[in-house]
Amino acid sequence: MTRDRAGRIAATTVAAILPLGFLAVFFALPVAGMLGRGFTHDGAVDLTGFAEVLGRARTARIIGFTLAMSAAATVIAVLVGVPVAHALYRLALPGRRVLRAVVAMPFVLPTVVVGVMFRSLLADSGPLGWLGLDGHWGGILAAFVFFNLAVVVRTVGGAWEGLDRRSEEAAAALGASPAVVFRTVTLPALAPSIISAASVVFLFCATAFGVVLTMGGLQYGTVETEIYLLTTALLDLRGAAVLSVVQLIAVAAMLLLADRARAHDPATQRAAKAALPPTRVTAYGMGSVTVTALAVCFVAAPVLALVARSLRRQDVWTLDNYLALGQVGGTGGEGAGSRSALTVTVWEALGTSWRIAVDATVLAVLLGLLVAVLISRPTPSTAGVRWRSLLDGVVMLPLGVSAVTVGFGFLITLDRPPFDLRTSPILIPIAQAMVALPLVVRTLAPVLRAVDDRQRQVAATLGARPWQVLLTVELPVIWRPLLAAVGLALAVSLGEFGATSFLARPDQPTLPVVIYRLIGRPGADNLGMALAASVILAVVTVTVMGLVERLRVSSVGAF
Amino acid sequence: MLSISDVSVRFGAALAVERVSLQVPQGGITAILGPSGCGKSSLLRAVAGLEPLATGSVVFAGEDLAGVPTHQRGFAMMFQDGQLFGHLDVAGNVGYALARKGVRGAPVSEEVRRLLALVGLQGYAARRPATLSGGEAQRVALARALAARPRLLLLDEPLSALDRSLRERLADDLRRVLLETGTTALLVTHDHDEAFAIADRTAVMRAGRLVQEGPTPEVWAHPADAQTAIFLGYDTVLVGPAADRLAQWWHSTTGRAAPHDPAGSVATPASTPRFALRREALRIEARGDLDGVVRSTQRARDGIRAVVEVDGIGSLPAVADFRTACVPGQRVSLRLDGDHVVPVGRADGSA
Repeated sequence: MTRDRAGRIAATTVAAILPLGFLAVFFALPVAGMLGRGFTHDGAVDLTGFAEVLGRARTARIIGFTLAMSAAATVIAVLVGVPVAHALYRLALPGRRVLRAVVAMPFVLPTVVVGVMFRSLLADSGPLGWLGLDGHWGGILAAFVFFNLAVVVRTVGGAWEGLDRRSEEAAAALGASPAVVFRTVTLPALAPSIISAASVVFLFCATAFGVVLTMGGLQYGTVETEIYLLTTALLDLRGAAVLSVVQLIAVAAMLLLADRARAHDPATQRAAKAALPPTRVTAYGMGSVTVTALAVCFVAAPVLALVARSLRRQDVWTLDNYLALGQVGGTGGEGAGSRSALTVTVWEALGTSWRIAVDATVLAVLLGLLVAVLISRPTPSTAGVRWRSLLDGVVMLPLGVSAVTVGFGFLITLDRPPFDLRTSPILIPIAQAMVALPLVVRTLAPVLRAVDDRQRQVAATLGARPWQVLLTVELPVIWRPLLAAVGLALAVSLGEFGATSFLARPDQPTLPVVIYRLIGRPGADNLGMALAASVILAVVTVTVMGLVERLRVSSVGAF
Repeated sequence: MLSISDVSVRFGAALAVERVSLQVPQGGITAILGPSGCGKSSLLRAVAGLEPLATGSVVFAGEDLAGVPTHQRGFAMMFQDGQLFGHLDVAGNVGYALARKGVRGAPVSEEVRRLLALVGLQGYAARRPATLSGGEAQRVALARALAARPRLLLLDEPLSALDRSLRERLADDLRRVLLETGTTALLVTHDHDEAFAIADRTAVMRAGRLVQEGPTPEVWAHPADAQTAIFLGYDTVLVGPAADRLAQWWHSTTGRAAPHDPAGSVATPASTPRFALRREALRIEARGDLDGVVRSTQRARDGIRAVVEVDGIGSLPAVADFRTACVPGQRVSLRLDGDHVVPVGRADGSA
């Protein structure tokens, strides 16, 4: 072992310990604490809960509903997303950059906002009230698709954009019709990205919390809302723990599948490849264009409905809902009951959200950068490869583990030394950073992986020290994706609801928490404020993401 | 002087380089020549400190480099496809090593200008790498490597990505620049013309092992074995009775003994390779030394290439100019050109 290698291994170890330690304390510990509560009885391990909880008819129904909804949403998102990806990434469609941004927008919309949006669209008084989908599972399904279409479009579109067209042309020259070319050449080449996107969509749907909570009411519940219900309302920690374990296992399996698909994906290096110029829209492309037009309408409808309804009160157009945002509770003189809806104004809540999100972003980006650098460095030894893919997988776990489990786990495990943080304001940023971390890593790692290792080597032979290599070879490539990751983490943190809802202090709620409180209150005024506040939150996150879009980093939101 | 002794490089279970020892003298250009996959690039990367050694040592100027990281070795490396930094302009690329040493301002631009002039790219300082042709990019890569004032310049297939005419031109320039700057260079290539054009000394590698090493002309004049001879561009290797026949023929036409015949007077196995011939060794002429029957012909830029069944020797490649009548089935006469015949096997007689 040389001095050089020893030093490198030491540096790598330190760099790996930071994020792993962070995840151990703020992810593994709370989750384990939560599970421990569920599976110990009088100090002894008690696993009988599994049989009992899983035997409940309600549990079976909840799991069945979760799986069915997630599967259905995944299938629809893929069926719609693939043609949209074709139209927006392969065809010379006028205004496709704007359309891409429109389709991508829902990905960063806060879950609570999406819930409010769909309810304002589907409510009996809403434009689509006649469908009778308010509080119906169809509405939840639509919201799932709305949310995750962007994941499919971005992931598949990114792969499609970099796909070498010559193999398609060769097939065509051999007499294959466009349909046959798609089936025999294009689709197999896209398969890894489609599988990858589908598994992530399934994951997001299966662990969705805010949307289901705001739209499903008491009638429909998924595993995630059930964990919430069991934990907070019924205090059945055992039941919650069992469901958490079931969810954790399913999520780990799903991530493994996604990882497998990615491993076989030659386009993992796609970030380096220049996007091919798009082709003319021909008759064969019209199908994709039509689907895209419908998808854009589908995405725009709830947004427009939300904005429109936020501007109406008692059937007149007004800015009252927005003016009310500066006050606590409903508009003046409506009595104490309605006042108590809020302890702070929406603007104050937005300020709180912003401050917390900035802290969370700093944390997520620093750790994410560290992880991305680690997992993207080529390593000669098989042991090194294994360590890296393990780190890669572990960092992705928070993506799919119940935010409720994490949030509640924080409360029950971080309340005593050495981690007595229960009253510390740092908990919320930490929880949000955990949620944003996988997205940061997914944004940065492909770009760093695309850096030809020989670029680093040539720099080293020219006398650059390892930190100089990082500064002169990698930083120039990474700064745009890094900015994009900052924006993404900021947007995600601003909208985070699952874990924050547990941790936010009553006197300092974040904006999503305020919105949830508002819609839980009776009265048109509160609903109006919820709508207006949702618009404000959406405007902030979409603006942040709009700036990110301008950086044109293809790995943002792609999996 | 670079001294590689007993070096092995291992990738998992496979040995890419197996116990290679090689001396690279100061101030000269040494080529490691071998087919792709023979381990030559791995050896070069091991010298640069980019691959760990499984056995052996790399010593430069008396200092064992084990444990010296790449950036402290002072060995600049030039890659096949340049690997210019896309985010820097040409001046930024060339000045990269100076910037790492903390040199700033006028001395840098002065040095950049000098080096760009040296590689024939005056006025390119502000260009982006993406706008350069392959040959220009390699010239910039060379200037960038020279700017580091390397104790040893490592070149990994520096011309392989270029097309033929450009390669020949750049090979001349490369040798000139290396000589002018007095740079010690270790070059890896699979192209024997490239090695011949650039290197003072050539080492031939095959399947991870060093097969032969010496001054470039000598390596060509005495290929160590049949495979090396073929790799060096010889078309045919003669063994046994065919070689006897050639030696005899040589003696009768030139009045001298054949060039050092490794078989000598000692009895050698009939399978021992003894002579390597280039196609140009046999020329179809009206009045030659030996006869044969044309089997096939092919038109080439510089004449006709034929395969002739030579009496007593067998099938051999030969050349003819366009004026010479030469069609399959025809009986022709052949003249031997001794410049294109070399003995195979080491000078000590062992094959």
